[in-house]
Amino acid sequence: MRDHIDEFESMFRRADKEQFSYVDIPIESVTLVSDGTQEQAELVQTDVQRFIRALDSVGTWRIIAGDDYQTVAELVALIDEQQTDLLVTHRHLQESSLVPRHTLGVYLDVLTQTTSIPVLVLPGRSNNPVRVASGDCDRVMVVADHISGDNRLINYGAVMCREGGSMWLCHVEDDLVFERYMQAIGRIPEIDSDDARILIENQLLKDASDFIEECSTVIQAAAPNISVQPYVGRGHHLRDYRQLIQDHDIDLLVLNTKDDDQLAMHGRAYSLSVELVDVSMLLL
Amino acid sequence: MFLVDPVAHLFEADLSVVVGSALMLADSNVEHSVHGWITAIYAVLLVAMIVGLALEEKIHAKKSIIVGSFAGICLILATVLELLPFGSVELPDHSEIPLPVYIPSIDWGVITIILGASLFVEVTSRSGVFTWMAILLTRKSGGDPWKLLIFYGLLTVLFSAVLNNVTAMIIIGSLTTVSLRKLNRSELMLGFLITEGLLTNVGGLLTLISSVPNIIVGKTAEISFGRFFVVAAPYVLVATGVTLIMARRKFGIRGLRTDEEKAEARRMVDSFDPGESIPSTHFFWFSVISLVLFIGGLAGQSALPWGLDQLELGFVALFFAGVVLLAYRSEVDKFYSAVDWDLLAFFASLFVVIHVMEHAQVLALIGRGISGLLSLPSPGDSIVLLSTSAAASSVTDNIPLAAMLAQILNSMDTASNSPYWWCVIFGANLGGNITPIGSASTVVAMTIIHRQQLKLTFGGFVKTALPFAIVQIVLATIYILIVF
Repeated sequence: MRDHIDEFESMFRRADKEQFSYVDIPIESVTLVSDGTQEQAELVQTDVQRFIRALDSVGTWRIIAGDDYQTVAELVALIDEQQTDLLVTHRHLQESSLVPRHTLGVYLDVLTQTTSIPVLVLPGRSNNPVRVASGDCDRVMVVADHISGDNRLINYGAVMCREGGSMWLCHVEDDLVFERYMQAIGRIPEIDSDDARILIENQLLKDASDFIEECSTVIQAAAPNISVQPYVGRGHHLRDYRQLIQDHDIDLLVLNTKDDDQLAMHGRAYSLSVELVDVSMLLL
Repeated sequence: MFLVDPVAHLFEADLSVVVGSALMLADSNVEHSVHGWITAIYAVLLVAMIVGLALEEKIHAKKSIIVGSFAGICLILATVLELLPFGSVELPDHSEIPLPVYIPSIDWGVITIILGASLFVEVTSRSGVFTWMAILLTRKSGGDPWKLLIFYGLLTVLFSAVLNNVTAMIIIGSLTTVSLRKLNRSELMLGFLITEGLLTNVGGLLTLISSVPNIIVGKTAEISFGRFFVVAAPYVLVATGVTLIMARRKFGIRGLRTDEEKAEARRMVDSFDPGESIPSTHFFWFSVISLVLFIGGLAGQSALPWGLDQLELGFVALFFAGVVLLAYRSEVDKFYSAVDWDLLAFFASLFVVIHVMEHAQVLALIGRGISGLLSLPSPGDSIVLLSTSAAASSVTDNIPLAAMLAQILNSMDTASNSPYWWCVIFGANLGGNITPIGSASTVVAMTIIHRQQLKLTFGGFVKTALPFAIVQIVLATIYILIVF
């Protein structure tokens, strides 16, 4: 009897689908953090305004240049002084002498974790930036471990995407994690391993597919000039995203970095943001 | 339509004569005399079996094993004591075939109805038709708790009537837990689940195939599917309405008031996708059409042309089960394994026990007790019969009770339109609402309640459910007195 009750409860839970709500996120003030001079920062601001059309009409731009701060605490204090909706910066601020690799730099690390303000990380490194003015941001990719229900992430992606552009909503189910669970299931005689593999994989991918389909319908109604493209699959997180970015010539990657259980950026977001230095990223 | 039946009046007027001749008839079924001590031994065995069934959960044994064991003991003892008539069985064409003595004891008409209906329901429920309806109505309610209770209540009654009480409770109970959690109204869950549990036994009265006591009593009394529905439906409608209104007051289930509350609840239930429960649109519609034809076939069985009515309801149920199984012809074994073989074996064994009890004069003994009850002046006889049936089925399985009473009423030559049949039907079904062990569906309701970590003891259930059960039983008594 308990089996039957559980069977129907599962059926009804499956019918309960995550809803997507489109919200136009207002960005009224932007703070650009640079380790260069005021003039260099103003050039970057112009590039960014050309790159992301939504930022062109922002009322308040504030620049924090390299001379304005010496420590992370000073920078955080400066940011806290004035309300801002978006931070724009580079990796490895104030670290030109360190030849940094495999990190975001101490400033960006702290910014992504101590503030709730989204951070737009420009490609390249602070001492070796890649200009973004070469093209409009019309190919945005939203990255999510669990895209289902991630309204905020997708709404930011839609804001950043130029009208007429495309937004890829991606969900890559990690093979390593999946196989680890399958190995455990393979050792439980009460569970049919073959059935479990097929059913769990299908359900994991279906939840993401259904949600993306729902997003697509809602976005098409609210912002009909943005084309939503789905990608749902199993594979290697970093390798697959690298390939997707290359295949679709992505201009901006949007991803979550916060982890409820820890102060540090969560693992997969960190690896993506460290490894994929040639593409702009919006870290939430 | 429900005016006082003159035949019933005639029956009541000549009750003592009827009872007397019925007992003579019961005696005439047994061709040899039986010593009192033998009857006493079998009466003790019968009581032990009923106690065993009541303690099913405690002794960790399935019904079929409990009753099967008693059937075996009864048969062995009856053979040793030379109670049973061994020999060939005469067929309608007067030819004889050798059959083991326990085979003709079983009412295969009842067994085939249950087997056919179980298979049919098992297959059609895979089409998602029932879950689709449940989710659709959840959305239609807009997340309003009072509307949700009405919709779930009506669905419980409908599903209990078309499916069976246990499956109805599982479907609606599961959806209740999921939807109320979604709506952040977990505090209403206990009230919803108890109400649904109580309504399964009301819905179980709607048709001849809605519950096993209906099948057994209805078939013995030769009540047709259509006649059963016509008599039972008005009561079910009234009892459902009264139960829902009582539940609203008892459990404080109110409608949403502000526009904000309504909008938020609407947004939450809109996330349920009815289409998700339908694996194949083609099979969905095939099942819907089959279901309509199945009910139509059962309702019109007695009017089937070319003598097909002689194949009886069991054939109709098996025929439609066969039709829907064609859709899953390569994997029918999955559905065969889903059949409740415990229930079928329980029935087969129960019929054997009753057959032996008849030969041991135990049924005649009980019949004498019942004839005492039925000799009360009308309407006392109906009131007492319904109340005692309800009281007995509240503490033990209502199936043996219905089977025995049906057999006793039959041996008393009770007319098909007598109110006594309906007293047993209403009593056996509604008695299940008095205690959590009174019916299989209230057991399911308790299981879901405990699964959700909600606190409800045996006594707590009785305290909560008793006012509902009393009102339902009083309504049933009044209804029977008005109709018959």
